[in-house]
Amino acid sequence: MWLSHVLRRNLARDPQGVALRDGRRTVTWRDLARDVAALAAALSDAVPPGGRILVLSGNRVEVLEAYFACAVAGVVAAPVNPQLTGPEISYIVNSVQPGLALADEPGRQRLTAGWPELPRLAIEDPPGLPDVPDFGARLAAGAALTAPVAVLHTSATTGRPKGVVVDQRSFQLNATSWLADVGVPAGTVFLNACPLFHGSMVIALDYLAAGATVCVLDRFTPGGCLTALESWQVQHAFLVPSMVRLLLESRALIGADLAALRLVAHGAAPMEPDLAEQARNRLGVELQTIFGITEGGGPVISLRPGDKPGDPPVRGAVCAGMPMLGTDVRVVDSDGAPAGVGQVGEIHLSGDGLMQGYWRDPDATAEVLVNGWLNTRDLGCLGADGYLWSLDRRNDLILRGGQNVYPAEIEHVLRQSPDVADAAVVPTPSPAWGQTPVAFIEPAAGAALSEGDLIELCITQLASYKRPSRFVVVDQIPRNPAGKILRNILRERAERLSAKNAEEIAP
Amino acid sequence: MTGARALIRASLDLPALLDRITDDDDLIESGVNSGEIVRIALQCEQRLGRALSDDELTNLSTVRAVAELLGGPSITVPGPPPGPGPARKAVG
Repeated sequence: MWLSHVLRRNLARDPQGVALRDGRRTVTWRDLARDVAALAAALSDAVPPGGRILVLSGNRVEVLEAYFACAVAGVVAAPVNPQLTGPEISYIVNSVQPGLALADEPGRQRLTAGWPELPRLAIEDPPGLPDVPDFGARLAAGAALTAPVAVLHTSATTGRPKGVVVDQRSFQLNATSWLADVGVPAGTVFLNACPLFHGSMVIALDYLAAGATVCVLDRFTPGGCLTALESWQVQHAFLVPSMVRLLLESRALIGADLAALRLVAHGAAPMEPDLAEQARNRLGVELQTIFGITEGGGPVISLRPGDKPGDPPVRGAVCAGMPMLGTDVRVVDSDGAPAGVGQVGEIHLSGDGLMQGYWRDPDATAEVLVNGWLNTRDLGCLGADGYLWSLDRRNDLILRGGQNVYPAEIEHVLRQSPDVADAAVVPTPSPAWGQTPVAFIEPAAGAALSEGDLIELCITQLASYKRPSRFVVVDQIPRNPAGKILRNILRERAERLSAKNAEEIAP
Repeated sequence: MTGARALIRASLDLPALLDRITDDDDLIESGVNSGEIVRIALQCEQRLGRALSDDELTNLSTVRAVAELLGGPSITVPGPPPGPGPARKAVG
């Protein structure tokens, strides 16, 4: 009901106001309502209630139209990262069993080649679909607040993607918390520079709930982003730290008119203090830190521009902020008891924004969701004043330029090589991307291991952002007596190698 | 082509990837990711001393294209400045 309510409210208040904009189209609330009603009718004709719609498309306003249409039709959107390889997409298709795909031109070409039996619609079609008579009435329907509306796929500790099932109650809660903790003045223009298949797409829905204009960038380039910020008079933007760094490095920043830009909300990874300082000074903006997790329904913790968290209670901790409206946080020690102030433990979340569970995987769901609390597996601690400090995002998670990469997925691919006896992947610091994966390889007995073969394996099996930045051959992958990889030892080794590399490169 | 290859190599997380890419291979199809393409473009901007146009950016898809861009008319600058200046903001 939530997204159809958002549509009807804004249609009534400001039918000619601009809801969405990209390089191809400007979509008013009236256009959006018409398109969504028409697309919802087409989706209802194609799949039964609760059926899945695969969304395979680059960023464009019609991806957001598709999410609204799924909510109105009572079907479930399953967006897929177009950067994934064929085998990666096949796994998701087999898991969610979509009845229809909405895809852009490159996506349709891939579907024709790889999944010819899957019916498909051009995602750019809604403006050309026949009008639905009395579309206001059509929008009055809408699926129940607690019916699944999207399955968002995350890379996972098991090496296979997991589908995070969210409902419109999660969207509603998220919009409430964004309006309370970030604030969206009337008429705000927001730039969505991040991929719309990602959990952060809820932020675009939050701005639409407030009646703001959402501008969609097809893909991030520093010059393209600066042009969009300038020409669309953008006031709020959500970026990841790597994007901020690239903007600051761009020649196009010289003389760019960012007069309208007031706030950059940034997420996905901690922003180094010097980068934050440069961003404030050279972009002339306030910064707001957002700590989000797909399983939590998106943004859950935030550090506002005026917040003064003081010194970290534990060395190396980064302040994530305070829980956003509707989210409760606790830190739990290794015995499952609440950790004391300044004591490091696992961060747990509760609230109406949490996922319903992993798609058709009750065992995996039960591992992280217990009595209404989500175990993020991120490590952190609470300060005396209630601020949450993040120490490490899940022991093994790699945050590469805003994308989550799980070592297990890369290790699974590398172990497919007959020349590889064992493999372990850990993060290493990267000035450009925050972190990149480094692969430690234990060759099979007598194998003539070639780096070229490993690269080839990664190119065919893994999306390019998951590819290791270095392969290191070792005699043996270190494991404890229980067989668990000793990742900390490898992380330290990878960091030493990176530091050595930096010294060699430095003049 | 050597200069272009050195510039691309410095922009890749895994420099050895470039050894598998011919001058006319599509960089993205060969496994270079979109973030690395952005870094290649920024390096070209540094080298040329100016921002790239949208068309130049779109055409930056092969080693040869990078070489041609770098070989084109360039503004000679006595070493790159420490960084771009601040963006313009409204006063008040």
